[in-house]
Amino acid sequence: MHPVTPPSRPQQRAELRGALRANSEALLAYFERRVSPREDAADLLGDTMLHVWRRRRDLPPGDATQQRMWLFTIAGRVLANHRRSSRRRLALTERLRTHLTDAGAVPDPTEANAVRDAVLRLPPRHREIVTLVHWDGFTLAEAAEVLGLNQSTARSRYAAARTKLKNALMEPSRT
Amino acid sequence: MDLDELLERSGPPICTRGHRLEVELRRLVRDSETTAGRRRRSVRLGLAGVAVAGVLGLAPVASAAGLLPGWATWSTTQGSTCELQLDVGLRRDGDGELITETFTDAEQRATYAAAREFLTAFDYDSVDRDAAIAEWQAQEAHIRAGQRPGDRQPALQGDDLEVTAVLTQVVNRLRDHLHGRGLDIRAIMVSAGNRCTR
Repeated sequence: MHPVTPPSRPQQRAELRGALRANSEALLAYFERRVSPREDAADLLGDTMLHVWRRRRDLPPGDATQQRMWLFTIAGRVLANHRRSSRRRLALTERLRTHLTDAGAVPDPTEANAVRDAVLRLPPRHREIVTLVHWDGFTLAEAAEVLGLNQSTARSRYAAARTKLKNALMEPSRT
Repeated sequence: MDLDELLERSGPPICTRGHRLEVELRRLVRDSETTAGRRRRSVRLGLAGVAVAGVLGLAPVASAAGLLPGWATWSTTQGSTCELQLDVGLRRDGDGELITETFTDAEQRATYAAAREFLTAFDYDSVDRDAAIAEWQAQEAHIRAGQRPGDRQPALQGDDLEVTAVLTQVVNRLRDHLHGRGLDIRAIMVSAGNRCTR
């Protein structure tokens, strides 16, 4: 067996640069869907990038899927911190904030609101796995890894979440 | 339409994707690489670089004095009444700034208990406002001097300056207090908030 040679520093940087370029839109969307006002997504993305650059030695080498999950795991931590506290504004992301303020939003399908409300009413442990799968495009196995769950727990949470959602969506409106 | 399809379409709207956003994101990737390469403090004007989670904004404070540790009402020289709060929590996996040190459960619990005790008994009147502001401004000037003009965050002023300087003093004293007991403030989460009304 050949010993595994760790990537050189320039290789690590190039690899992380590539991973960030490939995933920055998806990471931005991840934050956009979870924070209000939407412009805060810019700061959270900036924060995530600063974290990952400082932790670049932990980037899984060579595997784009693993790299994506690693980036989203860090993004999840940044988001968790954001929810506990208010954020500082980063000069780094001022222009991106402006872009998010000015840019129009992708049209919202008319039936989306009721389903989104039902998703947002799920308990957090159920909600996060549903949103990772259906809003961010992870497989259930990948979502489990991002959330640090074993596959069996993830499957049962996901199934429970779907049952709750089905029930919620079948309930007649009480208004 | 089945549930999967409904869920796929239920995501909150995001901004329109296009060339301009793509350019902006590429710039951010490049700039973050440069910024992260500099000293950490050069992009962080938080409270003294400890495990403090985002301190400079307006976290909700909803309690009466004495019920929460580190709670106080503070009248600023600008005439505002500010609610200040410092609170501590156990660091769960992934909380706070990413640190390389690890702390045992016993260390975390001991630090948490000592910090709560300190903050509950803390007398905010013991903080010298002018000295706190002078100290903060010296630190801030040092940090800003190390930043490129485009990266510089604006210097704090008015109520923001005063409450941040005061909270920084309290955190510094908390750190010293814990250190004196052989404990490390990074073992716990420290969060701060303020809300000022005039």
